Amino acid sequence: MNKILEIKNLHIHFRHHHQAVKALEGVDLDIYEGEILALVGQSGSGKTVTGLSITRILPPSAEIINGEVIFGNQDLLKAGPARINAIRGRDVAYIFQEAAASLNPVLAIGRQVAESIMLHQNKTRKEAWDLALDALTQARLSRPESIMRSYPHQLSGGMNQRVMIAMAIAAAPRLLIADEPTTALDVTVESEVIGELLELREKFNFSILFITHNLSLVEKFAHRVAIMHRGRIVEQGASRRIFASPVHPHTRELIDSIIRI
Amino acid sequence: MILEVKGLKKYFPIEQGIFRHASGFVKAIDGISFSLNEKETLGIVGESGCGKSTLAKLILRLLNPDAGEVVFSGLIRELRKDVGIVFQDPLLSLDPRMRLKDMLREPFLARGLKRKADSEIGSLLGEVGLGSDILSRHPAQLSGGQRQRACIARALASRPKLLVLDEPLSSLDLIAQKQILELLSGLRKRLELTYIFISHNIAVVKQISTRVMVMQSGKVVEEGMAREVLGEPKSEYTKKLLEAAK
Repeated sequence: MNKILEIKNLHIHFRHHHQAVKALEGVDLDIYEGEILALVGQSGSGKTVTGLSITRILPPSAEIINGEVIFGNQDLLKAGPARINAIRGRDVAYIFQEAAASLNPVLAIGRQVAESIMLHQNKTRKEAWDLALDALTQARLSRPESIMRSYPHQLSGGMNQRVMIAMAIAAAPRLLIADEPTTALDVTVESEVIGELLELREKFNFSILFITHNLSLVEKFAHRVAIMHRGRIVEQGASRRIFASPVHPHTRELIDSIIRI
Repeated sequence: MILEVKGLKKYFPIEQGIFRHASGFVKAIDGISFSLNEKETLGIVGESGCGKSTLAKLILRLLNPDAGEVVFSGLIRELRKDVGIVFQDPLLSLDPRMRLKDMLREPFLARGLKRKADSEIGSLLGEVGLGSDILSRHPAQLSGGQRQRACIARALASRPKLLVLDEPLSSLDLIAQKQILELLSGLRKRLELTYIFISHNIAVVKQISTRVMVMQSGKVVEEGMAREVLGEPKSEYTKKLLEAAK
């Protein structure tokens, strides 16, 4: 399998009152074509910062101290604004925990999805509208025509997250970064949304970087798991191996914290 | 019996138009009855919007019911003292501008126990596993788990008999969830508390509850001993929740 992304020795600090908070302290992580890689860690371990650093959508106080993010023979950390903008949302797409917070509350869904298609794929308004409708159908939203005219507050959490997924896959990305995409959803909706995400991956063959604090959630579908602790990847390997014979004490601690039914 | 809820109803009007006339009602709680014995833990499970949190607010009289009653063993003015609450998001339920010390002192000041406060705060911190070094900190300077411990300490300050725990684990990561769950189990035994434990996470409810109530759209779907309801569920809805949690 080919590597599509390589993170090498990444160090990121946050400036805070003349002090540096070390968020990432030498992260090395590879993502292969078509795989589902789960990045798991406690809150504050640096997993979200790792995801955001890939297309440099970090908060202003973040400082990249050292490292490389290689995507398609290029270091994204050194790419110019035009190049990085071409990659954001197109080759690398994101979905986040609070779907409603990622959507614009005063614009209808159809306009938002179509707008991102027009921006990334150079389509006319009419073409983009049809593609948006198609993307919503792909993401298993029933009555896509009426959803195109709805506003985020009129939809449930699960529906909003499906809209985000539709928007992400409409650009035919090579890598989808899903940062706690189901944490705000009910368990029944959570398993539906994950099932749909996996189906879409089968169909379009993009890679997924699935960021979560919930190790038990990824047990069923991740190909590989990377465990993050205090700004470092402390253990990574095939999913089955991680669960069957964890090596690092923190991995064991995470596995022990799973409350099983 | 410590608490009895009889035929409780709470309807919220859906207001529309310029004059805000009610065009309909959301039946948040639609006829719920149950009773709670001392030292019992009643787990309430259901999906978002099923009325779990509204029920908690009605029990605490933070909302007034449209019909039905909440009977508490004791005087109604003692309800505030005898029933504590812990909410989902500890950061939202702590005042960002107050140091922990002042926050934990308030329940004592409210009851005119200023002199007892400092020694009591010391023992509260011990009970929830926090060091006294955090007393001078603000909520933003604590981790999620520490914040929730502080909320539990504050809820215990009035030495309540009943604790209503409304999704106390949902904003924590798994390791912190497990630690807080263990803390709550320990406290229940040591302090002989009664719990109402509200959660959408059926695995957590199974772990802590003696009795379980499954809710859907403001109604009780199934209720009984935790072992029976979650071991051999009768309703399709409970089965579906269990299946999704696997």
